[in-house]
Amino acid sequence: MNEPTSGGGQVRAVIAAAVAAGVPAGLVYAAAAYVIAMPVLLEAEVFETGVHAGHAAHAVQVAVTGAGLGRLLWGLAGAVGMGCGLALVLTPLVRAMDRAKPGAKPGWRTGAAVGALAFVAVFLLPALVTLPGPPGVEHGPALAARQGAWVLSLLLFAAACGAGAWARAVLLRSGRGPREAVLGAAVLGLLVWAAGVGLFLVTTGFDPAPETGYVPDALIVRFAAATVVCNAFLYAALGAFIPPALRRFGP
Amino acid sequence: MGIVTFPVEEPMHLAPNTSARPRASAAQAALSNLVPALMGIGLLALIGFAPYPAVHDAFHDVRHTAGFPCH
Repeated sequence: MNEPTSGGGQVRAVIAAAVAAGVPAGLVYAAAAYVIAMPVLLEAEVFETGVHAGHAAHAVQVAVTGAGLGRLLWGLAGAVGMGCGLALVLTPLVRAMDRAKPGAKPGWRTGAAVGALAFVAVFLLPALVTLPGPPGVEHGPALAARQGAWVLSLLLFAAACGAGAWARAVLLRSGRGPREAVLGAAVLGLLVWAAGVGLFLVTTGFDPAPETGYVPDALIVRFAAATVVCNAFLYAALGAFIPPALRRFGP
Repeated sequence: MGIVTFPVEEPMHLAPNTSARPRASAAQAALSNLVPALMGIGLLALIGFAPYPAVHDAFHDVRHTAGFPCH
């Protein structure tokens, strides 16, 4: 890694590393989504026409994306955008974690840890709160409320990480071993997240269960499984690509 | 016959860095982490949350696959 002295040079180097990791990760994601999730999604859209009959936005969707090549390209652009967006957030995280170890270069262990952490924080835990479904699934809470719940899950995860770090430090100071400290940190972090989500659900009456309507339950479960696999590919690719990109392009 | 001595050159990796380039400050390093992260959050917000119909429709499939609440 070079060490650009100007702030602008460092910013450009981090962005270059993030893009170098995000584009291939996005392509991996696009391929996984096309092969694994798209068939289920298209199957579900048959039911969406029933739900959204007369829905203006859906008519726009057909006009903009259509089917076939246009839709494929928009999907590709979105997947690469997701890859780059996540890489722009995670690359500084990998860099910051590795800078804590003097003389260390970004390694695969840090990349794997950050990729796994992001998979849990950005996909898995929000999915437990908002229960993503395929097109055609109707939800009780309004879109804005579900989007708010998604963001809340992410903020609660950050709070849980903070509480876990505090618990780990306290346990280590009290003479406990590193394994006990990590276990204690994980338990407290999980409790903070679960308590926050529970408080949110109780106080707002938010019901994450989808009102399935037209879409068969089996199709919803298949789509959920497909999204888990696709996103596992995305975050694993980000974890694998960010450290070498940082070594090649990073500051 | 006197002893001939040769000047011993210090190995490169032990030589002190005498270049005039100052190292980046901690504030610059923090800024170089913060700016890309904010750009990434903006890009993810656009793809996952932007309410404009054209953006929603363009990234519709990705929103569903990534687990963003879509409609």
